Amino acid sequence: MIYYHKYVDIPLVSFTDDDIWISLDRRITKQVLLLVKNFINNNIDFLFSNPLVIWRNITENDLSIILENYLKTISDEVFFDSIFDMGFDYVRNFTFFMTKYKCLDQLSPLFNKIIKDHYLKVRNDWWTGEPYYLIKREDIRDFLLSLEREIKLNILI
Amino acid sequence: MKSRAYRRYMEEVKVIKRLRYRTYEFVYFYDANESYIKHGRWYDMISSKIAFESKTITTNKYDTRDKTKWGSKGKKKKYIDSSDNWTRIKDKNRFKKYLESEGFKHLPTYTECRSELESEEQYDLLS
Repeated sequence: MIYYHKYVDIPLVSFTDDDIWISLDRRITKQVLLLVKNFINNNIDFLFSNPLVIWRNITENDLSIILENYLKTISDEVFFDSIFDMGFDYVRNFTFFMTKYKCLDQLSPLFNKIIKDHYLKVRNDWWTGEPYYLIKREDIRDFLLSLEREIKLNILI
Repeated sequence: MKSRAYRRYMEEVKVIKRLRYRTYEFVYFYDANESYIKHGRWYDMISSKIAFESKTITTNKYDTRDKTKWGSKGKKKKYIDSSDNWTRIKDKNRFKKYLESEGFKHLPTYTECRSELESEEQYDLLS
């Protein structure tokens, strides 16, 4: 395990027998993105994990926590821009994780809960009555809407 | 004025103290990764909205209400002189406006300058 110090030692990468796990942590965005860039340049395969789970061996209950983190962090503007500028295939990595750990059934309920009912829900402003979204950028919203379909296509390929 | 390392250290001490206190207020909260945490510790709040709020120098107390600097010098200065144009904050804003007028978002780093250069002869000029 490698840590980065910001107030405390925050886990950055963990190495197990099967995989290399990078924690998708918004506390240390800069360091995570630098590491991803380095791994891509050296052709090293890796998976993303949640910082709450990364320090222990994964059980069946932890899979949904990692899936949630995959869906939530890509909605962040900094992660979205920098990951796609690198040319990194985020959807392929996501599908690779799900096929390897056999958690495809858990995707659609989480997708409805996090993305459709939370991020893409139309809310009305209390004062003006104008509609707004939690995610302001339209291109991120379009990506999130088509994410489930793209994952299914990736599995078929 | 104290050095940058000392100021950063003092800020960390202050932020940790405040976050430790704030954990007693919230039994449940969302961290920076939007995950729901029960009975969290102070380090779960790093980079969250609460942590950024607690980065200020000022407090509600009379001594440090209008504090502008870390250390003992900040206590003596009870007001901000608005007529003084050559303060650190105003210098930064002036420099930021100048960069925007030139078409930069931030001051270009050494590596960014190198990547824009075309021929190897120009590299030699830099060194």
